[in-house]
Amino acid sequence: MYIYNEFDEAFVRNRVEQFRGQVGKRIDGSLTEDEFKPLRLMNGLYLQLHAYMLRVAIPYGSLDATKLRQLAMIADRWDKGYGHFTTRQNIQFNWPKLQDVPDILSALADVGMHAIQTSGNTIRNVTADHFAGAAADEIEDPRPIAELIRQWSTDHPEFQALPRKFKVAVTGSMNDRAVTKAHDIGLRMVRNSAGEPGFEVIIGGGLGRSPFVGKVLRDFLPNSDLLPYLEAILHVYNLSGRRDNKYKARIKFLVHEAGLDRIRKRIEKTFELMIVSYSSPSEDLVEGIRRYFKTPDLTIRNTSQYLKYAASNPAFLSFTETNVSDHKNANYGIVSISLKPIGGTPGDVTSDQMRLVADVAERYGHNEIRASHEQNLILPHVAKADIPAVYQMLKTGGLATANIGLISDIIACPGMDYCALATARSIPIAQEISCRFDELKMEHEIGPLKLKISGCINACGHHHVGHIGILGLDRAGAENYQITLGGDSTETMTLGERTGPGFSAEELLPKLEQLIHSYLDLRIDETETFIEVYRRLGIAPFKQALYPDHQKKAA
Amino acid sequence: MSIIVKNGRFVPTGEVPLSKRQITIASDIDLSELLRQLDGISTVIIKISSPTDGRGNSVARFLRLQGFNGHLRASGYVLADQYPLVLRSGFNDVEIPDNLAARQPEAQWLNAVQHIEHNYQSRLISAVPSIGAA
Repeated sequence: MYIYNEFDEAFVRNRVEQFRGQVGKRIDGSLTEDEFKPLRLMNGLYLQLHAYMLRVAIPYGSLDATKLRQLAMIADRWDKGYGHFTTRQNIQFNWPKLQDVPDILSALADVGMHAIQTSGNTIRNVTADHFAGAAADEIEDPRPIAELIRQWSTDHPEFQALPRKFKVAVTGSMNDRAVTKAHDIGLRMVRNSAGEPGFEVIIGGGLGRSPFVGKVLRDFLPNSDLLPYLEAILHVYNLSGRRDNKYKARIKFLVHEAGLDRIRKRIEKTFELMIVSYSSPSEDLVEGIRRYFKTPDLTIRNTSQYLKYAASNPAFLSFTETNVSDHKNANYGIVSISLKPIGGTPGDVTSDQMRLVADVAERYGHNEIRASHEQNLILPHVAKADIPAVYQMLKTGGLATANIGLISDIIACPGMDYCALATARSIPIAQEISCRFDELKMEHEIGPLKLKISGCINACGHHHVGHIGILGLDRAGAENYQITLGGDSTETMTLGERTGPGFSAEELLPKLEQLIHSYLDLRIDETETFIEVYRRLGIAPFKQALYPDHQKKAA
Repeated sequence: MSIIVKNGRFVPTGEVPLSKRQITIASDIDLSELLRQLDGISTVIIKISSPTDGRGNSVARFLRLQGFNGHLRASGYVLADQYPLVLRSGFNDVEIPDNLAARQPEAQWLNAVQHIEHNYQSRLISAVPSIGAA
């Protein structure tokens, strides 16, 4: 993974001192709270319901044992002993004190980490496929590109006060695990007819209050044009994005209101202007970045023990079926560590668990760990021969839940328990759903099902792109949960369709059970997944299951 | 009234005279309109109304990309912490009101420009000017 050189190290140290100064100026009154706010946001510090929240960047989700152990130390020393992994591959600490934050940033800098630009109206953490560098279906590893974009966007002088936040994602596989079509800029690595590497550039995707599927801005952008082209997009956005209404300020609105063709013309014209005075990053610099992302030495290891263990141990077999994905090397597997224990808070990890994962990664995982946007952790390179030992170790820390991709592998926002913006609680709902279907022992029967919960219309739980999406609102002072169906976060991105009026917290679980039962009744056989049935039959039978009285009246 | 920040130091406005061939524009100016106004102009003053309005930096950048080599001044609500960004976007100096200067003394501005050379963009691409022409 990318290791800081002298330049990077000096940069973050300087940034920490800069922020220490800014905190001091806030305390002595040189800066008002309004003036301090954009500065603290540029360093990832939010003010939330109960406390400050620090969002630490995990560039394209990549971690190693040293970094993870440091995050554990920070959780113990300056927080309440845990951290929360987010839908943008970052980690959040929910309880730091303002005066401790410069020291936390310093501790992060000690291991080449930071909280720069994880909030505020700037270019945020560049996310990428969490299986990068390992997946069997990968065309090319997106991480060197993500790192290049990260460097280019860090403290870019022109783009620190954009109309609104700006999110970029990169994928190197046809199977888009990076949700590129729900980003302000999505980059898909492709080859042209001459076999040259480049990108399909997608613009104006986003979830939130007004979800949009991203549109293709450019079919093919050669690799060498990437940075000036990004400059052109951001330059046009910075000048023309709306600044009068926070809820209409993302680039998706600019594209929608001006029209894709007009925006494309402006971007291409700006690009022509920039390319004249542009000179590419030196080959040395680019090669220097690539060097850090070479696949580790994957020695050939026998898989017979792995197969034998799976044959004799049903719990382990179950684990391999959900939590182990295909590696480009047949003797290896990509192991997903579920942070969705039954009844737990999705995405939360204790400091002890972080240290355990660090140990496992160091011993069996070539010291690589990834955070996924689905709020789980990944060990991208594990020899199959070692997976039984990995499984045993993870079990000791409650990290071996075999539910990846199943109904209890829920993405949920922090919701009303933590967030000042929320209109409903999401975590307790996630816990109830998880417990119920575990209790009924139905998870495996149900099969792959992506359920996502948002506690308000800002959609941080990505409910728009869940197979089942749940949106928690406030209706006359009571929590009210709407169900959407048929969402898809992959390359075939689709926004879920609303089924009808919402349900109370008490009604929701029984209604979900009815929904699941109707799916089980409707499917051709056990291989037809929920989303496949939905695509075959549409929303009607599910609406009927949820609102039977209404259907009777209509008949 | 106001003070000029030049190379991190406070200088009375009178001591940095600007050419009479100057225009003052708002940060939301239409760029085609701006180009029309630029004939024979050697100084452009861009008004910055708020630290959260980043358009001024893009306007400055646009002018430099168009080949404008004259004097660019950011005038208004610019914080010391934003000073390096303003300079790196192509501005030559900054004008701030006295009350802002009182809360953000010279030492803060001098401190802010210490590490201006140490940035990623000048290593990666030369389409971003690192400091406006002096």
